Amino acid sequence: MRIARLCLLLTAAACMAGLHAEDDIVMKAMRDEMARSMKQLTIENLEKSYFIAYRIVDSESAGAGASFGALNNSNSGRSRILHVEVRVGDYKLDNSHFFSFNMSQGSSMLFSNGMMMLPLEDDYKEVRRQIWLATDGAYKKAVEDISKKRAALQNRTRTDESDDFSKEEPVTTSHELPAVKVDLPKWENEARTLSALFRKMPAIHTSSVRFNAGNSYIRYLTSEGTSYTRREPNVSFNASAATQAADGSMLDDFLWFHGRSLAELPSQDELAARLQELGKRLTELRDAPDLTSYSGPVLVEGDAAPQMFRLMFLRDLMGAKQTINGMQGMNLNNTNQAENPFLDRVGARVLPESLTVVDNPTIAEYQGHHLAGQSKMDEDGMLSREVRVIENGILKTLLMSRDPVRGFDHTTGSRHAGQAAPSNVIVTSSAGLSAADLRARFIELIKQRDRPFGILVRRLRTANNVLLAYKVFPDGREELVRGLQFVGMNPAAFKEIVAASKEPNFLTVQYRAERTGPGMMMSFESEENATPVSLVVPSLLFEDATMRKLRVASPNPPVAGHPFFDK
Amino acid sequence: MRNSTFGSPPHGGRPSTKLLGVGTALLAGAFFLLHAQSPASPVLAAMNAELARTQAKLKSQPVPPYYISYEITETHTIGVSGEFGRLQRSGDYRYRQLDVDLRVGDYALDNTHEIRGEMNYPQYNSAAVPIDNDPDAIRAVIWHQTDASYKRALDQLTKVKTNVEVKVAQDDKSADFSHETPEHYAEPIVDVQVNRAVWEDKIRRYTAPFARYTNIYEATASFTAAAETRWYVNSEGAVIQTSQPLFRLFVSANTKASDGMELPLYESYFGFTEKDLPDDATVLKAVDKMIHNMEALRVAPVVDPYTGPAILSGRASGVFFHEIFGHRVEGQRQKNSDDAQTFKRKIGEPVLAKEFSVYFDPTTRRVANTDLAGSYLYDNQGVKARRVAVVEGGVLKTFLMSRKPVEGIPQSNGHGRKQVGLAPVARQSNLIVEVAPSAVQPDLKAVLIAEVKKQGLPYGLLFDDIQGGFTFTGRTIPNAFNVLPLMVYRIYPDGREELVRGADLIGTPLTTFSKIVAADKNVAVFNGVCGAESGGVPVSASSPAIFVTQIEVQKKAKSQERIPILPAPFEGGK
Repeated sequence: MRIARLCLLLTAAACMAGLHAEDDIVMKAMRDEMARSMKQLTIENLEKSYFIAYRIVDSESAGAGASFGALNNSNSGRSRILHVEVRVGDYKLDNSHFFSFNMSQGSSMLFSNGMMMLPLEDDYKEVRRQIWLATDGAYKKAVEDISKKRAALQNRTRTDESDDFSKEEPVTTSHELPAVKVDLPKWENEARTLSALFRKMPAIHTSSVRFNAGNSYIRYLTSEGTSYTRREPNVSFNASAATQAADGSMLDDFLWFHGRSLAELPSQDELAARLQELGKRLTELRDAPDLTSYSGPVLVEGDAAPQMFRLMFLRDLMGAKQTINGMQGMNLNNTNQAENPFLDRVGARVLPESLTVVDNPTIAEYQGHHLAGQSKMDEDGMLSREVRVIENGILKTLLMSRDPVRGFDHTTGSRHAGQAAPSNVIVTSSAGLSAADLRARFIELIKQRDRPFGILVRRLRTANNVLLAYKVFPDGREELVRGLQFVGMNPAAFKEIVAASKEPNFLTVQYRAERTGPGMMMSFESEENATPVSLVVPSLLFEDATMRKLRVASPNPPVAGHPFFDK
Repeated sequence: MRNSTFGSPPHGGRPSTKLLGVGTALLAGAFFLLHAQSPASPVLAAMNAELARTQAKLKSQPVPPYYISYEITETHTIGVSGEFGRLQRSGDYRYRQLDVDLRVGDYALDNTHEIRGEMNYPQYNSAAVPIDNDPDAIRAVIWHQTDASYKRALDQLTKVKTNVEVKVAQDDKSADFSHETPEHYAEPIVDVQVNRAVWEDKIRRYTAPFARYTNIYEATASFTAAAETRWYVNSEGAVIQTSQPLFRLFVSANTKASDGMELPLYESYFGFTEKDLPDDATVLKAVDKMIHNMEALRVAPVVDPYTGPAILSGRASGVFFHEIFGHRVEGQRQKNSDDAQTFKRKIGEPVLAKEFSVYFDPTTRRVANTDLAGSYLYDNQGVKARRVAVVEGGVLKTFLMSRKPVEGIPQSNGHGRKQVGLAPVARQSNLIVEVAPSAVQPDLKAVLIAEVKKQGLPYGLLFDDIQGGFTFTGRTIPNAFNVLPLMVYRIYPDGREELVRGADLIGTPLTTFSKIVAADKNVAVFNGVCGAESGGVPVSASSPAIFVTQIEVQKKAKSQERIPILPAPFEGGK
């Protein structure tokens, strides 16, 4: 795509002095328009910006999807998008964290939200034109927002008196992985072949597979002197399949594999094997008995361990600042935004003493497995670093972006997908047991509790849907159970983990922050507000967990059978 | 027209193989005959096979479907867009979508019946279909969608029946679905092939002239070549295959007056072949005119509230009829209890001067040397397209009809239309305003000046161009929507013309119609995409310029956003 920039570490002073021989035309346009905006952009009597950031994201993407042996679609595209962030006020109080939506009548122009589609071709003048217009729109909105925000603050007290933006040392970095090149016709054929595996699975009603690849090249520049370029390839394979049990219960499951290069994706044979497993487990689930309720020891292993950690624990490890106002007319009141309980628990024990949780964006591999979350810098351009979040069960810090929250004044270099987010999460146990020992401990617990069986969880679909659960009898026998969910499982319950495995389970997921505040409602699901996160989590044994039958209204099974199998 | 000139393309007539003598009862037979004689696609075979199987399998159910239709639409689009002389996007996309219409109950009362007192969401089922001609994979999708549609229809019918019981008797006693003759038709499948590099170059050149200006804030052009192929079958025996390429070019620019008022302008071109699009010289001339008009508009005086006579140019009149009249004669608007039903009781009564007639004709493909975007052979309910005289000699004759009858009009007239993925309703096609010679005036400007003098007014108005409203379909851009006049002139008694800006045309439709008294001979065509509850459908409106003795104009809502604070970061120039 673009000419690679050399990786340079310059001081802010050097940056501002204009030592930018390596700037390409686009970066030069950003730098020149930023200098002009910082110096001159103001409306009479109103304050100038104290911070401006430009981010230009070049993307190229390609993908092919198929179902039942036939191609559904195959496409590729390119785009270049500019994002402008303008802050007025100061680090303590600025226009951010305030929700406003400008519905100006008689206005259809598109540069008012600080986001613009740019021409694909490098053209200094045209890039500057669009930056000029987008900065103008963002500045006008910023001065309007800060005056509304100041007015709103006159009438209320804030629970969070932390600054709006943290002051950090400027950094210049570059992180450029080799771009991925895709042979789309080859992927089309592989997608056909893989999706045709479902022609041999009569129990599966619907299925599809898809390959996606994208290269993004990001240029970032702030008025503080921070800048970076980053080339980030993403390759993924996903598959989904669904069926219904005899009683109508909907059963569906998916696969998602991610890599930074084609080589990091599983091979075609490996994918085929995983698809077979996917079909097999759904097929088995159709006929599996259900279980009304259960309370007792639960062992979580395989994919389920990282899934459970992600779905039920991880969110509280992020420091996320809330907007000071709700969204008018949406019944969202800021006083109802629940504060993260972990804000007050630094120094307290939140996990068993044997467990340590580290977020480490500096590594690309762990025990021979690829990790997806490696990067030299975060989205704010801050140097990424290993963050020991929980050490021996004690909460040490939260993962932070430059948006401070009560008690957390600085970034940990953890802004991804628009806010504080993890990268590579590694959970280790200082008292990890071998698989056999963990299993023995589980059975011992079952016996101690005098339960006829314990529950082993191997896969979760969502936080409220355990896909693969097994009754484990004291003699070691396993029996599949369908349609269970956890009851009352929350971060506090993780403190009661009684044992963990020595061997970790690896899983990479597409992480989307679950923000509940206003503003989140406006953002749509796209690759841009998602980030791949690798999780390394041991199998976990809970002494006491409650599960019950998942109750949802299900349609009847299909009246006519699948046309391919019903012959 | 409420949407953009981007959107799903229309269909049109082509040399074809007409099928004869196919019984409606023998679906499978119908297919094989089709296959033997015509270029029917394997997609149609898959649809027919699955339709026959579904009917057989569901027959024994306590409440079997009484009607099922499948429509698969393949859209192949080649699109290039650019801004200020540079390329923004260039791509080639192909996808197929299945739409299922499955009904339980009977023609008189079925699951689509309005549930009064509730939001009535369209019951429609749509899913992506493989683009490979693999009958097994296609049938798997049809099967799954049919099953979901059937269950939803059963649920809905129960609600409908309860609602009919608990509410007062309905005013409109018409049936829910009309009986129609099943049609059989298949034309060869055509694809679009264009040289993308050539168009990338054209798009750059068409937008480059804008780039010299520091006060034009948006200036884009987009080219679309699209082939839309539709396969349609229903349980009544209809089997239809149509395939139509179309080509569009759209140029759009936006500036601001110093008081913040936005002044958008655009040009759009449409044709059934690439050759029907204008040559470079024509487009570049239009671009120069846009630039010139924007400069003039920026310094033009803002219109004052005005009541008096006006001329609407042919294109302006076409859009005016489409918006003010066309949407009010769409059949279902006479039935839904939430609609205003402006014309419901007006059939047989005069609504326009006796010299004026309004037709909707999807079978006319060309007017005034321009291809018409609202042309098609069959509508989205498999009903054959036909010319419909809605107003003849000033008298309202009928409404635009889908297969949803309204009181007194039990049949469709081939206007059941939709965008892929939505449920069809009665929509406009090619609107054609015709004027009897007795109301044709050689010089409308002279007529206007005479009327201005007669009414003792300082000036009259000429609406030279009305913006149909347009929207961008880009992913990262909010969809903007506007209906407003673009180029409006004051015509003084001495014949002088003065450009004004910021005019909004207002008034009640019935009163305004009674004031239309004359027209000239200069028929012009507006091609666009109209948006309503069944999505964007391509339409056209053709009309001569018309003279209205009284219209009302108010100042339009104006953007409060001022022009950019800093000057452009580069030198402007001429």
